[in-house]
Amino acid sequence: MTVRSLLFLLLTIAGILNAKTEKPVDELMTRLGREFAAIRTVQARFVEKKQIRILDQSMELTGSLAVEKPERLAWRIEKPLACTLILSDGKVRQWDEDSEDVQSFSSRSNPMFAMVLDQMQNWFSGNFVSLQDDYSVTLVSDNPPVLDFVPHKDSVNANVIRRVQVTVREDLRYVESIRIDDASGDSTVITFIDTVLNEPVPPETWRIQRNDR
Amino acid sequence: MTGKFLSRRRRLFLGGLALLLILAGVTLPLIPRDNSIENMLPPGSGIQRMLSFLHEARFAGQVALSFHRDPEMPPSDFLAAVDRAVEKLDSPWIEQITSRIDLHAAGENMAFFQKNLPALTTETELQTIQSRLEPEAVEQSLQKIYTDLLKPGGSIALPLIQRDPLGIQQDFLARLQQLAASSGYQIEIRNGRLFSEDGNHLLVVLETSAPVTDVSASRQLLDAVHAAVNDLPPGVSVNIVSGHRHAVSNEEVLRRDVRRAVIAASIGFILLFAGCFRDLRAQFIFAVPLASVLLSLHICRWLTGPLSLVVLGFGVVIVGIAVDYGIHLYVAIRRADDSDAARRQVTRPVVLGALTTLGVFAAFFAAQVPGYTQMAVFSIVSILLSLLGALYVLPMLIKTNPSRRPTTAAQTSRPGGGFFTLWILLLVFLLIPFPKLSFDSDLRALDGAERVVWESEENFRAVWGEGAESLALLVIDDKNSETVLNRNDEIFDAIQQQNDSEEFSSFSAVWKSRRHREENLERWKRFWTDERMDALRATFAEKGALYGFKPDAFSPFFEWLEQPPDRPEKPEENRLFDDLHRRFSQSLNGRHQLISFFPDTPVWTERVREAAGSTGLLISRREMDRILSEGTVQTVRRVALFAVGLVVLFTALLMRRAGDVILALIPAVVSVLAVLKVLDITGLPVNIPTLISGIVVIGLSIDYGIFLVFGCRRGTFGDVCTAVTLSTLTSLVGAGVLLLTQHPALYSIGMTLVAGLTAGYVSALCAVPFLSRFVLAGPTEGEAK
Repeated sequence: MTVRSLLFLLLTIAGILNAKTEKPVDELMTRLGREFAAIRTVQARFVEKKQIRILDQSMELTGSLAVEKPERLAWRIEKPLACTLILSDGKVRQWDEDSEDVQSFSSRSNPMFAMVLDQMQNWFSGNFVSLQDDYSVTLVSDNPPVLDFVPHKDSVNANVIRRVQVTVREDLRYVESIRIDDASGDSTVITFIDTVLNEPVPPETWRIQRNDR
Repeated sequence: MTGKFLSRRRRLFLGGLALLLILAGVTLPLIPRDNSIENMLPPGSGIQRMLSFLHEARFAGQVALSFHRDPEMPPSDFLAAVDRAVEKLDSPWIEQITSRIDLHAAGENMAFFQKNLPALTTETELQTIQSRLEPEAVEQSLQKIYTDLLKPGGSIALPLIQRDPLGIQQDFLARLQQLAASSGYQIEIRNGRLFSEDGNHLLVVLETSAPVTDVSASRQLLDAVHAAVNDLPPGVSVNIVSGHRHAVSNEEVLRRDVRRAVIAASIGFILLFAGCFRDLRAQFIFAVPLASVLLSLHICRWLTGPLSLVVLGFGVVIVGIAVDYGIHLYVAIRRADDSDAARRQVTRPVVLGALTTLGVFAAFFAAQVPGYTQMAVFSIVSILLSLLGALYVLPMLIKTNPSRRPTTAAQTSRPGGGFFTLWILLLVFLLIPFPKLSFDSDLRALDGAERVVWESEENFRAVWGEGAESLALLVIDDKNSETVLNRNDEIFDAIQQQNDSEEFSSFSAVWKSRRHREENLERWKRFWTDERMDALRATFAEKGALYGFKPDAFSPFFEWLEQPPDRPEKPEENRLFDDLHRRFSQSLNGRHQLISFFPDTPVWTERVREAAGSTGLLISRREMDRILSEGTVQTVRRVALFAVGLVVLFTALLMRRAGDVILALIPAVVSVLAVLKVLDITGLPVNIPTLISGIVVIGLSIDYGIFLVFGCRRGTFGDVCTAVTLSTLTSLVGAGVLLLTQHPALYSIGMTLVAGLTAGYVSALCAVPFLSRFVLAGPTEGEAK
């Protein structure tokens, strides 16, 4: 085999490989874009496992999530410590049982916190298409579909996030779990259960409630 | 004698004069103008210093570009369009462009402050730190850290938490962030860009060296900005806000207004004289004061410096006033056989009339305000030149026409009771309800910038908030930058002892003088003894275990404490430090200044005044309004007293009878009432131009009274009536054309003069002749004849 024919073979293989890896991602993203665009509300319970380098043991949290497009989000942790974060009408209200204090502030008052909120909204409402501006996406597995999002080097997110791995439900209607690897080495895995889509969210969800307190 | 001398050299003299006038006309645009209002403000009140600072301050030269995105436009296209426009911004006046904030770099820049915290921590702050070292306080801090880690994104701040579990650095950083964000604008930083709350507007700020009082520099700067943004794609628009727009717009409005006023006045005078005298040469009556004003502008600039706006506005008015002398000369000469004899005959009354007017303007010297002095100089020179022109130049230009004889007293009878009743009705209208006015001290009311400039600013405020406009300033100034820093530190420390001190934005919050840095450093070293460090380590180990923190979880904190602190010097390259320094400090004329910002409320002003003592310049819009209001009213009162005193004195010397003087004063009193009523009805502000015009109205209306009293007494009512009517008409033409102007100061002058002169004229004609029958004892000279 001559050098030229070897080169041709390598280029052909590379082309086939590219076609195999890129095309499914595009197809999947298109499908997900279509499916997730139909989502108006999400209500789910979650289990969150956090591996933090300054703690002896990993943390396991349970709680609930509610999302209402375009920009309402309620994140309630029940265990090990009750803690609520509500984003509604451009305002954030936070409460935890330790301080017993409700903090209220503009969602944009702290750039870093604003970025966290933006990311949460995008990941939890399945707005993956808009995330493509900041992340490179690769398909890790077909069944169940697992997408790997790596922030572009020049993106602000790259200072904080190393990668985000999203496992989509087989019916492609919502996310099953999200794994976030921080740039610092810490990691968080959130698994969603009992997910209910497009059902009206009770109005009290957007308030700090007596139960929270 | 002078007349004969000039007559013999008529051609030579007129030729030379024509050349001089052509030269004056050609060089007129070169006369520098001063659009600032400072030279019209009361002296010694400090308000001039405050305004000068506001004009010279670096932030006055900022240009804000607020880009707006149409909802249909994709955000990425919008950002690309803005970036393209920013790249095209090119002008030697632009010193810095802030279109995005590098949060990552800002974080690195903050490290400088964290590292040097020991030298920036005051004694009070060290006491706060001490209270956080107690075991209970440490446990509370660790509990909070644990809770924060549970929250979404909690681990993002982990490096900071490890370095500063007790929030010692965090307090300082919060102060730093607060200072960086204390612009007064509602800005949200998204991906390093400055967005509005609704996310549809993007802010780009230009730091410029173009002074807002320099029209030429302002124009060059704005041309460069417009060139950069003129081809924005559909869906993107920009709102440009800066003091430079005011400077350029004022200049354009003024130029248009003066041109419009001069053209309108010229047409008015030409038609008036053509209608009254049906003689082409009658137009020289108007040409004489016009030429006098032209020459006076140059003389005044030479004597008093750049010409102020009010002087330019009064130029046309002076033509209207001074044209009277020419009318008297023209009428006398046209009706006489010998022009020289006719001139001599009217010289005395014309000179006396000019004297009362000069008295009014001479009173402006009493104000001892540069702007008033300039106006006095300009008016006096204009009137004197007009008088000389009327007496010695006009006779060379007109011909006698003895066939046109004057009307006699018998041909024109005095108005009867009907006119007097009408005048009473006018008086009732002016008095009931009595106008309630207060002085408008808002200097912005004198800003003649076009509506579009004001609308731009309103739109900008609606999107971004009030900015620094709602804040008061304290300026510490000295030749030595260390002295300024020292004093700034002392004031900041004094304010910090009080509540709500975070509302006082001072550079001292993040940077101290060398002396204070060294004192702080020594105190820090004394504080962190080995015993204290060991005790703190033990507390962390004990309390940290309760929440599952690893033993080395906070080792970065202890490493930081163990590090021997440096003697910090101003950083060489630190954008955050430079930005803050640039915002809070400036150097002017070899002096260093540090500026602090605080809410413009009486409580805060008092608090800062107490802390600053006699040092520093406190600039508060509220205080400025108060000082301006009080100072201007005092100045104008003084000028008005002098003017009225001089005019009454001249009148008394001339008339010598109390009854005559009282009668002569009636038009002046009514004219003032009319001015007040018109200002009340039209809602025009009572400000510096209206007060000055009011004084001029008094001076001119008294003239009407004097002439009418003389007319009634000497039985020449008909002639006097004609002369006063023509005189009023010319004055009204001069003042009335200002009603065609857009500039608020010029318009106010026009409205005040038109209202006052009309009422003065009506009073002189309707009330004085009727009342003179009762007041003037014995038969009048005319009736006796």
